[in-house]
Amino acid sequence: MTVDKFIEAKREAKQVYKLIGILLINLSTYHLINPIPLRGASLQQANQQYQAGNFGMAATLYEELLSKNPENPYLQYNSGNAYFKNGKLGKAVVHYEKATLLLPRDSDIQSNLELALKKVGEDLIPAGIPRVLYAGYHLLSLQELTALSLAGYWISLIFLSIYLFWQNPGKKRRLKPFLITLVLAEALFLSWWGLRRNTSISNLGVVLESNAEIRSGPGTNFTVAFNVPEGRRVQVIQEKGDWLEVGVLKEGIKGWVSTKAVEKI
Amino acid sequence: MNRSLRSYSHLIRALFAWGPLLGVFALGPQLCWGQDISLSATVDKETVTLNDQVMLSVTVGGNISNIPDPELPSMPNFNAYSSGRSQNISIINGQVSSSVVYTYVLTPRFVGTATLGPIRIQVGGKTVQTQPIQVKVVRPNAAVQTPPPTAAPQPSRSSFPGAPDILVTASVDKKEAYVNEQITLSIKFYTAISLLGNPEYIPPQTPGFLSEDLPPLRHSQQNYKGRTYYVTEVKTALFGAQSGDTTIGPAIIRCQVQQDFEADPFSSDFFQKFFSQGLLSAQTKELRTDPIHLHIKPLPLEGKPRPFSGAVGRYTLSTSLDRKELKTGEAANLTITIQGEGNLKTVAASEIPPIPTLRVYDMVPQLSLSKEKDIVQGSKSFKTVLIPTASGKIEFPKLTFNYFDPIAHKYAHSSSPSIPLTVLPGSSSSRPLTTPLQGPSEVTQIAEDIRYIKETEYKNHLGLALSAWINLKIIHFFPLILFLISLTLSQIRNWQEKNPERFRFRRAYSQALRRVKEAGPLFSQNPSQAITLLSESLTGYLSDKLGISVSGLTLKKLMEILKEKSPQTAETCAEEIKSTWEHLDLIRFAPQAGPQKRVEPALPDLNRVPQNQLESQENQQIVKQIETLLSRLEKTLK
Repeated sequence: MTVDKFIEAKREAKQVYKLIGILLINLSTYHLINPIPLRGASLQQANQQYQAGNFGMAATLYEELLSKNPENPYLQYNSGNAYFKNGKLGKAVVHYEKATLLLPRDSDIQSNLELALKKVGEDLIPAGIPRVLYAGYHLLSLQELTALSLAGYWISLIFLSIYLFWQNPGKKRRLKPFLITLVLAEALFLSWWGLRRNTSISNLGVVLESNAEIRSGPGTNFTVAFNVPEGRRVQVIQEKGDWLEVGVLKEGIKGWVSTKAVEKI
Repeated sequence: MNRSLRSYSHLIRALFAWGPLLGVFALGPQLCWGQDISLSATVDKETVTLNDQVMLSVTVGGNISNIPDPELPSMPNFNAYSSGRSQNISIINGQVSSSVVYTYVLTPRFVGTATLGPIRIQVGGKTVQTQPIQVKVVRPNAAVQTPPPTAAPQPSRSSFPGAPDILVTASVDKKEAYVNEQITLSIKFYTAISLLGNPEYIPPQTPGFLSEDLPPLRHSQQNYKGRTYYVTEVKTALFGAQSGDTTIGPAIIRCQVQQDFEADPFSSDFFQKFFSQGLLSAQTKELRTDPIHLHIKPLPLEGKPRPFSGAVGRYTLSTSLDRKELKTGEAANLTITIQGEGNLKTVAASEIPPIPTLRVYDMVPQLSLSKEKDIVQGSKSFKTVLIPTASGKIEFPKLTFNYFDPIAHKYAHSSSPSIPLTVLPGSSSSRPLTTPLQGPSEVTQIAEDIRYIKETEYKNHLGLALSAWINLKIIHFFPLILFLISLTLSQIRNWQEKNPERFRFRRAYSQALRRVKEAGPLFSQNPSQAITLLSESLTGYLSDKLGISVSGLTLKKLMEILKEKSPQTAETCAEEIKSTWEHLDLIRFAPQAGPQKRVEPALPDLNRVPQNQLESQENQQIVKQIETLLSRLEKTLK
């Protein structure tokens, strides 16, 4: 074997090693690239169980998928459907609410949430609030509102900087109305974002137990003040050990309930 | 006389006695039709003996949901008792019609022909009535030969001084009961003598109670204080409507008894008395019972189930469907039956939870009562029609009926199992019959259900982009930094505009140095411009520092101002300023003289180097000299 042939063979061997290395890296990262796991539940399996009317099994499979991808609004919606059909209205409302937060303009999610709440004696849109106003307030998701607020912040500050930098009074005068509009729009987006963040996520809970007992204090030694049916939405005011102080939104009453009986959104 | 008296008293006593059922049964119904309602009345016999009873059935039918109760007319010849109510429903071509049969027990009071009716009901402002029915009341032996009831002995009043001839008592089986629990009231009429005519019974006032007659009349013989009485007993079931203490008023019996009459055949007016005794010796007596005080207990709040309609007693619930497989739009008859002991009239049906694909119509109750052993019992059936609106498998849910058991003193319930129902797709003609007629283009909602699952993977490119945008983190500080810079510059500019002299003072050194540095490279190309720049750097610096205008500034004037504004500088740097100023003026305004000559005293060794090199060194020397001067001035003029 000549020296040239030896060098060529060595080069080819290097290329083969390189290919093997790439292949091994690809195999090791396959589960990261592919969103559907090789083992465990798949969306198709869960959907098949739902179609077959095995709603309990479908709900379990959707929950398994959600544990890996909780930000998927379709999975939240399907899970809500499976629980609804299985007669568990509390869990159904929880998942529909989560799906609504992620995808607020989806009419299917809105429709099913409204029906589930109707079944538990509650209205999706509080009495006295026009539907248009409610729809407008919930038009954008929190993520969209955050992104818009950030964009408004960028544009406002850039134009404000230009305004300050410019020395030409004529140009400054022309820029001023546009700048005021921008700042007001940004203030509106920030207020909207703040309201949504503080009202819809941090303190909403759903009753999971049938006729959950709401007591006058955080413990079983306090008397049961009233019962709340499964699926009703409550406002979580504070948490103390295994007890939550909740306010029932529709009736405007409050009391303490076991953390097991309520799931926070 | 004895024979006549015996026969007469026998007839009177037989008034309350039960005899065998005889006579003619079931006459043709006297039917009467209203606009949507029919009313008929029948009796089970046209001829009745004094000791027998007549069953009067009043049937009200029609296609209206709330059938009114019939109004019984005044019937002086009879005592009337309600014996129950039963209801039947039928659904033909979607039209629900029902009929209610009211049953009354009539016991005759007088011999003769009596007229029943007309019986009326009021429907929608119109009166519907039946034809009158003739009933003939005869003496027992006139109708058919039947063995008469055992007659009470004819005791002599004088033999039982402590025992009255007639008396009436009222008693209840319990003095304390729950709301809607049965209390049995018993009124007993004791008689030991012959009565003239039928006694009149006025039942007691029972405020706060729902009452139910417990026929038939009971007859017996009882001993009281050694005297044998013929006893007639009337029983009534009472159901307390509300809790608290209450009183049953007195029951009243009015009857005619024979006055004491000693028949002395040797008396002068014996015959007059004998022939007129029936009319002239009668005396009306009114007997009253003592009021009875009762306590009605409220139902306990503890353990009260939901829903609870107030049923008290012991009940069982059952449901049945007449078919388990049908097509959409077809009807299945559902019967919910509540059976047991208690006030079934007030019992309401178990609530049927809403079933999305099943239309449930209004329920029609049917009551069947029996009063065996003086306990109000029986069954109440609620019939309705279920019409599936969509095909598939439906499970009619388990129903629960909650009631209070007064014997166990606690709430109980009875449940019926769920019933599976298979619904096959029906033809378009088998739509629910009560669906309103709609145009072909309109959509009719059949059932309310959630929307179907989403089978596709969720792809949210916008969400990913937004997420990436939000997660830029530190980059989002850029506009803020830009804004702060702009703001600072803007503030500086404003300060400059407001304090120009101070600005010139601060900027003087940097401006002068800049000019000196610009002048350096210019010596090779344009020496005069370089020198001008150097001169301007010095004059500009001094004018900026001293706050004077550069135009028309002369050395003399400058020195005067310098002495005035900064005497220290004038003392230390005056000579240097002066020499530099004059040197620069010399170069600028006397170009024929070479720079090397003009600077000769200061640079004696430069004559030995080449011409261009010499010029370069000279230029550098001048620049250096200016820089040094400016540096010194800056130190003193700060």
